This record gives sequence, structure tokens and C-alpha cells, in this order.
Amino acid sequence: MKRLFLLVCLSFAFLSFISAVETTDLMVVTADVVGDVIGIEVTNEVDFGEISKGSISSRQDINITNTGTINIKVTPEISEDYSGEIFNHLSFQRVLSDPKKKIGNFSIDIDKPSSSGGVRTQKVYMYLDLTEYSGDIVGDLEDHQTEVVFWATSN
Amino acid sequence: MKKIYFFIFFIFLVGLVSSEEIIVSPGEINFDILQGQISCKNITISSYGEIALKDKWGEKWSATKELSEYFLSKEELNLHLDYSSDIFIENKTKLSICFSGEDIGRYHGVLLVKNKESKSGIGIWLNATIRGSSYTSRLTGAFLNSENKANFSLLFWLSFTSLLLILVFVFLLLKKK
Repeated sequence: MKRLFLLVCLSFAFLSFISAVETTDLMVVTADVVGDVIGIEVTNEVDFGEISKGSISSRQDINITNTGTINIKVTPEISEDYSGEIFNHLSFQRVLSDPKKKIGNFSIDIDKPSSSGGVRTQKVYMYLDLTEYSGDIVGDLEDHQTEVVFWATSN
Repeated sequence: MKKIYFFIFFIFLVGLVSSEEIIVSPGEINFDILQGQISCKNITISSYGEIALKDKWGEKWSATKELSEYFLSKEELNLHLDYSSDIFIENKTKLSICFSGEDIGRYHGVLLVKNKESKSGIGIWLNATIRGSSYTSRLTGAFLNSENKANFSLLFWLSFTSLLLILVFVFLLLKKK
């Protein structure tokens, strides 16, 4: 009985020692892993031309390019410095059959490029829709402009 | 060989950076801290020109990826996020982002990075958890967070083996008597 106990104890100690040795006998592995990269390029300027209250501009095609390595969600946002009302009526479509969505309610998903180092471009349709604009436009607002920022976030 | 691939990839990334384009890595940062602790993480920005950074936060506990849901300031949530908010980059730079906070909870924010000359910008999701800093959690948290989990396992097995050997030694000693 004592021998059996001794044998069990020694076996356990031996196994524990092996486990400990396995823990200490570490293999060092190294790699230069490039993390997720987000990149975006957008058409720089859009001119809607002449437009009056109650009408909608012609369609403007915007190209948004995913230059990173992951799927992204792109959300357009009016510059915080803009104090006017006109450009709050910008609207967007992903495809022509979609309903137009006002800025602030629109975002678009763009998949990562299909190959490493490649890019993926998605077309978006943009309008200045003043059909529901209820404010007053006093005189002409020539060269009225603001900045629209397209924010890309990981999806 | 791996280094060559990395070098080629890096050169390619640098080549992609036009004057106004911006590339940022990673797309998401996680902070897991105890109350009062500070945790810092690095981000890499590739661009050319003046870069502006700002952060926005969502309601506490709320996790959404809709940018419009992020309208709170860190001050409103009693959080601290330290970084250089205005920098000039000629090619590529690493930037340290340090987070701390007092109130326990899970917070989600976004760090917006934009080249001032560009019409596009990048949002990095910030996921932050602040845990209680009781004495026990401070002890276990500090130990487990110190990337010493392998050492903990090793310590356990060595202690266990030593204990067993002592038992065997005592047993043999008693047997001789």
C-alpha cells in the first residue's frame, strides 16, 4: 500500500515536472504583423451650379475609394463651422433605385480591396434637394459653399 | 523573407499616400483599466500636412457604429483622453493616445483624424472599460494584467511539484524510522 502511495506520488511529481518543463521550454516566435489600416480618398469638389428653392440639383457622382485593408463605413458630415441651412439639404443615394437620404442619415459600407495593396471604389450619388426647404433665401447666395467631410470607420 | 514582404508592403503604403490622403492604423483601440489607472496605446498616421484630431463619445454602455450617435464630450463623461490634437506630418508618424477615467463603466468613443486640406477623415473606434479598484481587484488585476500569465502557470506547477517532493521526502523519512 505504501509502495503504491509512493509510486503515485512520484508519478504525479514526475508529470508535474514535465508540465513545468513544457511551460519553461518556450519557443520564441516573431513576426512583423501589419495591423488593420483604414484609408479613404474622395472626390475633392462638387459644384451644383444654379439652384433655387423648391427644386433639386442635377445628380453629382462621387467616387469614394477604400485604400485600406479592412471593410469600412463611410459617413458624410457637414462641417461644424457651417451656420447656414442650405447644405443641410444635401442628400445621397447608393444606387439610383434607393430612396434619397439626407446628410446625417446616410452612410455607406465599402468592402476592403479584393487584393492586398489594391483599392476599391464605390460610386455615390449626391444631390442638393431644396424641394422641402422652408427657409427664406434673401437675395442670391453666390458661391455659397461649405465643407463636407467623409469619415471612414472600421465596419 | 517575412521582413522583405513587410518592407515591400510598407513601401507600397508610403507610395499610396498622396498629399491630402490619410491612412491610419489601427481602426479600433481597446482600453481596459482600473479606476484611476492610465493606459496608453499607439496609432500610426500616414499623410502629409497638418493633421487635426478630436474625440467624441456615445452614451455610457451604448455600443453603436453609427457616427451620429457620438455627440458627447469626454468631459461630460468624466473621462480623460490625452493626445496631440494638432500635428504636422511629413510622411508617417506614431502618436500616443492615453486614456484614464474615474467612473466605472463601459464607454465607446471615436477618435477623428483628418488632414486639414482633405475632404475625408478617419474615425478610430475607442472601446474603454473602467473597472473598480478595490484592494482585491487591484492585486489580481495588477498581476493578471502584467502579461505574466505564463509565469503564473509556471509558478503554480513549480510550487506543486516542490510540495509533492517534500511530501515524498517526509514519507520516506517516516518510513525509515
